[in-house]
Amino acid sequence: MSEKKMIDCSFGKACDVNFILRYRTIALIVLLVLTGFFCFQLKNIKMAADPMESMYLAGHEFLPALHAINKMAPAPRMLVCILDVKSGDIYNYETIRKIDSITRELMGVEGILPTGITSLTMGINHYNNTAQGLSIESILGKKMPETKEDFEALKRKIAVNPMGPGKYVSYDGTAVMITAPLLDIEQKAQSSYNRLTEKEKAGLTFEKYKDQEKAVFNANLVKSIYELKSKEDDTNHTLYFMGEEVITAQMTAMGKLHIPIAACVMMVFIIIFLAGYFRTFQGAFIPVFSMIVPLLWGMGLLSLSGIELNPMAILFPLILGILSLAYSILTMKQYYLLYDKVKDKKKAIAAAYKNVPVSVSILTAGLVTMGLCVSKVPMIKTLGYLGLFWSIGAFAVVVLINPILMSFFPPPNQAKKSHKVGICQSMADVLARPSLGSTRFVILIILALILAIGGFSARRLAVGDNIPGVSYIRHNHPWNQCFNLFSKKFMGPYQLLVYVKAKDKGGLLDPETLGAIGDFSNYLKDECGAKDSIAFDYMVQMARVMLMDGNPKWQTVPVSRKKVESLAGMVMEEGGVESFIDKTFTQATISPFFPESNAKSIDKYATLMQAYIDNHPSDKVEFSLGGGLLGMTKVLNDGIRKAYARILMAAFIGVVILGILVSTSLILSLIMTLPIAAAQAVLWLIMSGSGMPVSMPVVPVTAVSIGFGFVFGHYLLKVIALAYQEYGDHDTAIRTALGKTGGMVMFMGLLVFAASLPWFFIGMKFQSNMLLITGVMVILETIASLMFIPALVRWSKPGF
Amino acid sequence: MKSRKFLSFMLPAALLAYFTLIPVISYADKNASIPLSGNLFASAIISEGSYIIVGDRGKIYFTNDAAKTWKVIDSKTKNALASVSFSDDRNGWIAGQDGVILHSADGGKTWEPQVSGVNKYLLAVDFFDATNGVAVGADSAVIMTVDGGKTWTKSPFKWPSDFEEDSDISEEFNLFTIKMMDARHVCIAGDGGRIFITEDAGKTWIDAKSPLYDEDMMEGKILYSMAYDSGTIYAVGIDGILISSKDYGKTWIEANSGITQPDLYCIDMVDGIGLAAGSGGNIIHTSDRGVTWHMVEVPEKITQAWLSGITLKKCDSGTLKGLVVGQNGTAGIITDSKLVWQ
Repeated sequence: MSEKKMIDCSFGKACDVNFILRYRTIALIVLLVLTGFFCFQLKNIKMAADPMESMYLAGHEFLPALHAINKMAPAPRMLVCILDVKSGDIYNYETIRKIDSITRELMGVEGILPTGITSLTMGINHYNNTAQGLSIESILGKKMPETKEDFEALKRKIAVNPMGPGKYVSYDGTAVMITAPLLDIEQKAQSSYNRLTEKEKAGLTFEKYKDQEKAVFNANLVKSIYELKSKEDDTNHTLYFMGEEVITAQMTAMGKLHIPIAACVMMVFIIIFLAGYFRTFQGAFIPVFSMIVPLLWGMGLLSLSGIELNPMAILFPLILGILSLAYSILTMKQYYLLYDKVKDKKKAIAAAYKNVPVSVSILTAGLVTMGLCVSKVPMIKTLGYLGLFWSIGAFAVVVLINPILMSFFPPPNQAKKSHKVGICQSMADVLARPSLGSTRFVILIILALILAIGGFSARRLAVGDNIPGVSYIRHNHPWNQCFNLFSKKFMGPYQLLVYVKAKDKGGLLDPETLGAIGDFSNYLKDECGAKDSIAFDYMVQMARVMLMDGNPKWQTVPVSRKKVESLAGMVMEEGGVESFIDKTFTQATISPFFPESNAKSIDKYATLMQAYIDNHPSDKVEFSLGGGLLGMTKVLNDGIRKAYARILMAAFIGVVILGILVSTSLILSLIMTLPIAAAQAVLWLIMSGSGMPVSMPVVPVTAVSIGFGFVFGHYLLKVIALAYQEYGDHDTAIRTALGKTGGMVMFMGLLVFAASLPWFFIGMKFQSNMLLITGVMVILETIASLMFIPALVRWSKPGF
Repeated sequence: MKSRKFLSFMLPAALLAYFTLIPVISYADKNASIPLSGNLFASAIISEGSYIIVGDRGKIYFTNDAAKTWKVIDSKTKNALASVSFSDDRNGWIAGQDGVILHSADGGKTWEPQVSGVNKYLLAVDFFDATNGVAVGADSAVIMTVDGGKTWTKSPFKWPSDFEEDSDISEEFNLFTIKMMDARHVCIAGDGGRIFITEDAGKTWIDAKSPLYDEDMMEGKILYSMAYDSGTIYAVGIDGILISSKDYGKTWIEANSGITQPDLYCIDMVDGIGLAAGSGGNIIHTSDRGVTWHMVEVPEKITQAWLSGITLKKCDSGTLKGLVVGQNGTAGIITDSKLVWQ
């Protein structure tokens, strides 16, 4: 192998830098104008209107049914309140009075449709067959229950009420649910927008106006319900709330508060680290500049491309920014080291860019991040494009702008040599020491063991923590507490809907078809483990029983279509069945409520349900799966499962191939790749050990983290190669290289890890996980690079 | 050099294999047991270990190991099956929606349809022996057979009108229950708590004086089920009503079931021991020929289901066997005084 290979492979050659420095003013102006142009484009950046949709796996078999169900019955705008009793049950005067009080208070909350509120004290009737006929009265009776006998009677009435156990009263009788429909904000916004003057409308599109109105509405709603909570909570009762509007408002509020604070703390950390390390203004300014400006380029290019960014991945650009920060630190460090030797700014800058393989690293990171495009999940794919655009920006800034900036700043002060940070170097020495002695084989065995055990734990990893809403925020957030109560004590939110479509219009009125729906519904309860299942056949049956003297033997679908039509019409007239059947009786849903929400259970439910569909073909009706919280989660899980495997494969194959290209050696490429694989294996071990599943935020950061690892490996090998050319001996080359750069690598790893720490404290779990996993992976890669690269070099003795 | 060449081939291969084996999820699959499913309307004890349950969507469940395992029997219909009656350990009949009558001559293992001649929902069927049987149902349908169901004939039953004697208002009322005491004596009941009896195998029907029917108001408490034991007919219905007759249904007296609110949908009585069940999982029990009744404790889950079918039988071994069935596959097995929910 040629001695020059590891050097010439760098695209950032000294001659290029010299060329830029020769025309530095013009180059800087051009680049800054471009930066300005991309900044200007930021105002046009498109955010995904439906963030959920862009997280779904394209072409998933659930999507047609999911979309059809959403079209048939859009999710109702509903506020869900749960009153939980800490000690005892709800069957006492105080709790019933409290339920009544909350119900009444909710009626006065702006934006709630008072007549639609349903609670134990409003909207739930008790049907009783008496000698005088069917009697319908409030489930509480004519007066509030007071005596023990009254509460026993109420308990019995609730037990047999279709809206009782699991629905509006918990199975164990210790909690009640209150639902309150919300105003159609779109309609309200439309009418108030129409009332605006032309002057007021100028530059304000309806969509923008609607979003503003929604935000105000949601914020006011949350304010009102938390006022109600503070009023009604006492030592024995706690009131919880959930609903799409509540979580949207709370996430918006958190985003506005937590993200800026965490970002500021992160920037302070970075600046303190850099200032402490370089002890110069430029030492802090240029890396921070390199972190921010490529993002502006990347986002600007994304805006120009018209590709929509998912707001859930809003922090992903920041991770890319940290990557370009790392490149910048490497070049700065080399510049400082070389300036000590050559005492000439331009020569030192040129030599620094010659020694640091920054262009190749950016290219590699860009390509590896682009590997996200192999995913069929639009959000992840978008991040792949963003990675490509960022790499263009990173190249422009780190390779083109930074040398110019360095040349404008005064040279590093000789007196301030504190950039040789002792602690980092000591840590690097400790990590690399076993590889330098006779224990290097032990290190290689450790590497093999890590890969083996990590690989084994990867097989135990499951996808999960992708439930829309729940997975966005912390477990102990009040919204999630409400959700968990709802899951545990009530029928719960875990539905995997069956979409039913009759082949003929009105075909669901056919008694046999309606019976088939009932059969499927029963199968879901009996053989799929659903807690309950509701379908239109049940409503028709219930209507029939009520008409037929309450005899339960009438709880069956009539054999005559005419009778079905009459009962179905009656049910439809009553209202509230939009989620179960459409007005033309052609489309319907079967709604099973499942107890579990982990990926394994969801897959099991789906497999059993699909088996039923396959074994029960019909020429009158089609069943398909999709919709419901579990349906959505299944689409997300499948997308992640496929994307994770594909992205990992693409990233590692990409790193190996690029490693071969830059080093023209498979061995050197593997030496760069193996520490990354080891870090990944340790991450799997940690995830598997802590029960952390592979979730949506894990997937995109995987590629970026692998890109990070390549920087460390490539940089270390490059410096070892340079030292090898100087000394002609592997051991000496390794010792020399580590002495010069080990501390630097450790510093970068620690910097990125520290920068990720503030995000641990934000309430938005999805975004927090993205940053934290990056931080953990980078520190693992740092350690793995310092531990294994020297050992691998000493063992394989490459020629460079 | 050799080791390096080896490394060059093996490491990429190992890496590729390594990353190909990344997360794969596999699952254990479902077990093969048959659960009792859907709404179950009625049951019968055929012999010591053979029980049968019928329900919605033509479901027939059969066990011959005392309910340890159930299997589904092909009923050849999707109609609701509301009632089942066995005259002996071989011959049994099931009645249901759309005039369905099924007959088994092999102790419930196989069932064949019979021609009922009506298309009404037959809510109850009862056989005194292997040849004489009656079925009643919606719109006051009453059909009878004297040849084990080979031929069914409509009985000349007419719902009495309080206004005009000639008008036929039968289609406005339903008959829910039936009890055949012998080949000639039959008692039927239903809407308004009205009870009718025949003493000539259905040729003529007499309006028995039901204490539940208020002639002035022209309304009454519906009766859902009847049982016959040692010369006494017991009937239960709406609002926990319980009445009995010791003269083939001619006169009735009210008994105190101990409950007032929940409806009682089914009753059975053997040798003075009886059970009645109804809405909200309520079950009452008597061991003194219906003089006193006591509530039976049921699990919380059962209180959310109605119970519409109950059957008791003293087996040859002297053991009292029983079955209670109801909503959403609810079933309880009785062995002497023990009730175990499935």
